Amino acid sequence: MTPDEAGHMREEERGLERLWEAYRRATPAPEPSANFMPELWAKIEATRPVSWVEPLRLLVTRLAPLLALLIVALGLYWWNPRSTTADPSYVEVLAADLIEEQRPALFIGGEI
Amino acid sequence: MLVEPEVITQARSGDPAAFNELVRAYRRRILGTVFRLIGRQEDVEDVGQEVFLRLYHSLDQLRTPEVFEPWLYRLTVNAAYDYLRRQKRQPESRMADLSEEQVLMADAAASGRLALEEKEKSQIREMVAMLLDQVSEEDRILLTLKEVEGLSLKELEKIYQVNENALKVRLFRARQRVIKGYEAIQKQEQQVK
Repeated sequence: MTPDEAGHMREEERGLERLWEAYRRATPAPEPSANFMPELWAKIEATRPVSWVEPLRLLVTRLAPLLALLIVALGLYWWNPRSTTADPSYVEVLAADLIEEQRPALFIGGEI
Repeated sequence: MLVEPEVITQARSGDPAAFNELVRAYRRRILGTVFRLIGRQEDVEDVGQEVFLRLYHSLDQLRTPEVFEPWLYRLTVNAAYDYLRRQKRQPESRMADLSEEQVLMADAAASGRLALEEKEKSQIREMVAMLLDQVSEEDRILLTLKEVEGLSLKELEKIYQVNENALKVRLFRARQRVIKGYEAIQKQEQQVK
């Protein structure tokens, strides 16, 4: 680029700068009309999902983690090997002792 | 920021009063930006409402109130971009597309109802629109945000989420194209004189 061309380019750039500035002044922020907010809310209402869809979506999204937790808990419960010989209760121990105590008598009785 | 961060937080949690406050605080600024981006006053309000409609539906995705303004600018840029693309598909008549007779009629009507200053402004808008037609919609928006809105490269970086160097290259190319267009217009004007 020759010095002449460079000078010419700078001149064009300056002209463009002035044009941007003029454009800024020529496009002031317009005052919103009185209908701006009502129209905006009408558009929002029109694009809202159907009334029952949103609560259903919320219910599903909130229930999903709970369900997952429940499934994990049930899985763990079933997966844990449970003791087949559960601890006997007091009544069961007592009953067993009574049987043991009565056994010789029964035996003796049997002999009779 | 034009509102307290709490207002943004409340609007994000679905408070309609807070959302109204947010819109009232930013609507004028957004309408101004939209006007400069699309260049057509008659459609400014419609595109502005589209920006706030998008804001309403996407506010729950906003991470923190601090990034609200770049977020809003991004929504504005996207809405303006969609509008410009729609306009390209359905071109409307501009001064350059009208016959000489139609231009004279439009001029007469304009001088009848507008002051001289308003007429000059309208010519400037027309000239800038012609220049920006030399570049793509993406570059038109980028140039306008930089040169007219006066946003810094850092702010543009936040809006576009690309690095500064990529933006600089894109801006340089777009500017060169616009300068060529400006040069051509200047030459035409000199020939007419």
